[in-house]
Amino acid sequence: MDRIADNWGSRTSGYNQVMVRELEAVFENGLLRPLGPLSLAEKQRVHVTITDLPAPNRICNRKAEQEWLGAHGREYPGQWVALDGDVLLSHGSDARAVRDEARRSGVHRPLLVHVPEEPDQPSAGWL
Amino acid sequence: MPQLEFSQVHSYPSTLGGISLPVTLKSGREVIDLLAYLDTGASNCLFERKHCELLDLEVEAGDHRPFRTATGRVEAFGHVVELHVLGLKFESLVYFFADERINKNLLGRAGWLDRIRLGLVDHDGDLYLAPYD
Repeated sequence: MDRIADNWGSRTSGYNQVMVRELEAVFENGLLRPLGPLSLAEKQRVHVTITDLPAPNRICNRKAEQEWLGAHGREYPGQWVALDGDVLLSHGSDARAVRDEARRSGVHRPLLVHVPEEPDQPSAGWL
Repeated sequence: MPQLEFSQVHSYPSTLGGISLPVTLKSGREVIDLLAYLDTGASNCLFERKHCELLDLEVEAGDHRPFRTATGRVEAFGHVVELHVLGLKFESLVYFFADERINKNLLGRAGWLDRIRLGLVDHDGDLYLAPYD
């Protein structure tokens, strides 16, 4: 999850002149990644206080998945495909198996699409 | 001339043969993410049978309803689910095709179009959306 670093600041705290800085960070794969420049010496130890921020209101438009389907869907006629971005996680004829295989790869909510038998044919209406 | 305001704009690809939108269906603890097509001619929202099964719903336990089509009629069963489209969430009665060979997912009128304001500029591939209020 990407966030714009817009909360960067610093202040000097107390008479002992310990520098306190504030910045946003994101927790990824078990590590906190700062979302702004952080000038620290290598191996420098710091004290971290965590303040939760609300998740940004992002709308997932599945653009990458739809582009993938436009480019590669015809290679999987009649099959179910599970996509995460432009990555094909799994495919096959059994929707549940395809969904479960995608979840085992670590993606709990893949886009699950049943590719038409003849995806290149134009539509005369949906039903 | 009336003015309409929208809160979302969605660019849909020209390569998928229709006006496609990402949809999330939720029921209980299960959730499924799929693509559906805007269909102003569909009286309801209709989805593939398999999606109902993946939501752990018993398809035939729902509200049975036949739908007219260009070539005859199809049977479907209605279930109340959470329907999420581009950040707008509704609790809606949607239908699932009884026939698993039908692989269409349609966003129709009752349960979705009747809950939103919709603008469309197909030349640019842009769809504008806002909740009806």
